[in-house]
Amino acid sequence: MIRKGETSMSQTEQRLWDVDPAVALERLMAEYGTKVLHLAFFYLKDRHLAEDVAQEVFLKAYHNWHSFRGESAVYTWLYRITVNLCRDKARTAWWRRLIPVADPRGSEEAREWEQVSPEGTPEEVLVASEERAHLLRHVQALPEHYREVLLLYYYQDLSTVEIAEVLNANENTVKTRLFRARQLLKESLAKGGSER
Amino acid sequence: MKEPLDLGQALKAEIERDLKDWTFTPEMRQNVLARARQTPPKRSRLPWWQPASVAAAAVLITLVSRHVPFRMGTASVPQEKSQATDLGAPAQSSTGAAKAEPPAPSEDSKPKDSSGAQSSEPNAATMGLAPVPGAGGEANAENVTTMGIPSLKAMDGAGLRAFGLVAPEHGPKPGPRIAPLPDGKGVVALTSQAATLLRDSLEPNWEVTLPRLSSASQVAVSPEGRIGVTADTALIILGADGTTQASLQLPEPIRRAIWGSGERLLLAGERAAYLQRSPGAQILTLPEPNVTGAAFAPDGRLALGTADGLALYDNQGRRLWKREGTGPGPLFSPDGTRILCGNSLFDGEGNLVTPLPSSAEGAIPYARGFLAWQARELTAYAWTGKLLWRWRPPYAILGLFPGENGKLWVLMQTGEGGAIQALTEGGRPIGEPRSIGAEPLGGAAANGKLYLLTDQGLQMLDPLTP
Repeated sequence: MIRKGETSMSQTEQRLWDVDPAVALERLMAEYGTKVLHLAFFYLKDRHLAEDVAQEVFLKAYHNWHSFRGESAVYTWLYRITVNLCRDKARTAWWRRLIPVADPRGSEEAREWEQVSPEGTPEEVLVASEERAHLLRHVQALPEHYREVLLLYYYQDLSTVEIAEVLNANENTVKTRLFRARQLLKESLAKGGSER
Repeated sequence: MKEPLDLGQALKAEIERDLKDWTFTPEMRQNVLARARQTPPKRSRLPWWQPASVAAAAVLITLVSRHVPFRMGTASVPQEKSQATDLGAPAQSSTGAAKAEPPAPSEDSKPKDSSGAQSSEPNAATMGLAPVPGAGGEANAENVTTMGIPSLKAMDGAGLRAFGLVAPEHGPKPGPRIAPLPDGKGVVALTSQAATLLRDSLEPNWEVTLPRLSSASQVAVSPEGRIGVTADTALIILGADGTTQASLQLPEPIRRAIWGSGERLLLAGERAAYLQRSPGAQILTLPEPNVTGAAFAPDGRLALGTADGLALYDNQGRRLWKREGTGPGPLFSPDGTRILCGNSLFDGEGNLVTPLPSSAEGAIPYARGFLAWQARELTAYAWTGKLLWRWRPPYAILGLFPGENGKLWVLMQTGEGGAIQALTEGGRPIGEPRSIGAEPLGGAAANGKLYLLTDQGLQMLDPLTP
């Protein structure tokens, strides 16, 4: 079985794909199904759509496993498919009508916001905040490019190198986004707490 | 090393609290497995456009095939002036055993059909060639009737156009695997599961069921509606009703089949190109190896793009001139006075009219001239060579389809499948790219709709409908 942290698909796993791809697919779903499902949810904010996309991810993986070159971990490849499918879904006109308008803090406002961050680390702010129980709501309110790096880093336990691979981005870009995402979250938590 | 953070733990705890009962259920797994079983995974690591992958395609041949006996043609070409050679040789097998320059059979030496009777077909194609395995339909027919078409809508009138896709990087240009019928009321497609003649676009209506032929690689349709399917060294010709009319066989694998006006037929192989000027006529061997593209002018001239240049032949098969240069095309202007090949625009005499600023990967005619594209750039030119507009797409361009009223559809390759972007005649995007949710293999445009052959089956799209 492929373990997180491995850099490539094992020979045993590769052979399984060659011999019985259906069994290999089952194992892949058992191992990563829920993670993929939750990742899709964070993008789409809709459980039904996330379920559709998650199934689509494994179907695509099944049909395109031959194109997986084994240069990265399997989960990185799966997450990349997930992210791309979610983005495709989010790009379509009909989908845009279903989801709320993008958070305004994703634009100029966000940049201003970052400059007036409160004292303390995000974790200190977090501990102090009564909003702790609503952390996820704050994360979900972040602009997508910040939200995704936070979730991939903290929830999916990916390294910045792996996140860069999943998002097809530069590692430094990922680091910058991660830093800004923390700042935004810190600000959001502080603001949310003070409003109570 | 990632530092331990309360933020991470808190986030995880919160997510797990919120979503702990929401998992990838066994039902979802079963659903995925059931859908996966419908289409086996690709086992080849080769790109789809390479022969070994394409060989997995099934072929289009009619179930109700009737093998029409052939008659050797007698058309002659002035050999002293022609650089073309005669390929009147009856092929003895599909292994390429035909010898060049055999004596042309006389008019009355009509070949006999399997029952020994002389053919009475006045216009039967003739190569005196061996029957193609599987083409007879009786013994090898494995009927194929199913194919997924998610959403078919009404189509009216003619105007179907189809283009093969440009292979990414520097691979060989794939032959078209989907082609429109000239009456505008159907398409022919090869898929990995089946070959389908979609006769009536109003309803998914399979008029013909088809036997498989494992080496089928592309389809072509003549202006009169004859359907050609290439399979290794053979071209199987079907009538518009799906019945087998003839099979032609070359001494080498056919890379490309192109029909022009007057039912002129060009078959391109690796070693040479083969021209049949009319159905039943002798086939001429044109000494042009590695043909990358071909086009017929309205007056019957033939332009051949090869690995090392552009050659122009008259309608008798005589080479008029050859110029250096490589690239997409060739492409004739509607009046036949201009020929585009690569990044060069020639006149009919082979004089360079103008070089184009960049080398394109593909080109198609367009209402105001022609369109040339690279992966990340689409440029419109007038036939004078004047640049009209330029558009840079968000993804790599795979193919281009002219729509109605000058609109264009650009098929692009995203990270996971294809996407379509509509453009105005002036090159302005209409809306945003729309994902097709599958890997595109080819396409044909018809009356405001796109037929796309994908790894998920044949799709019909209306790119302008939100």
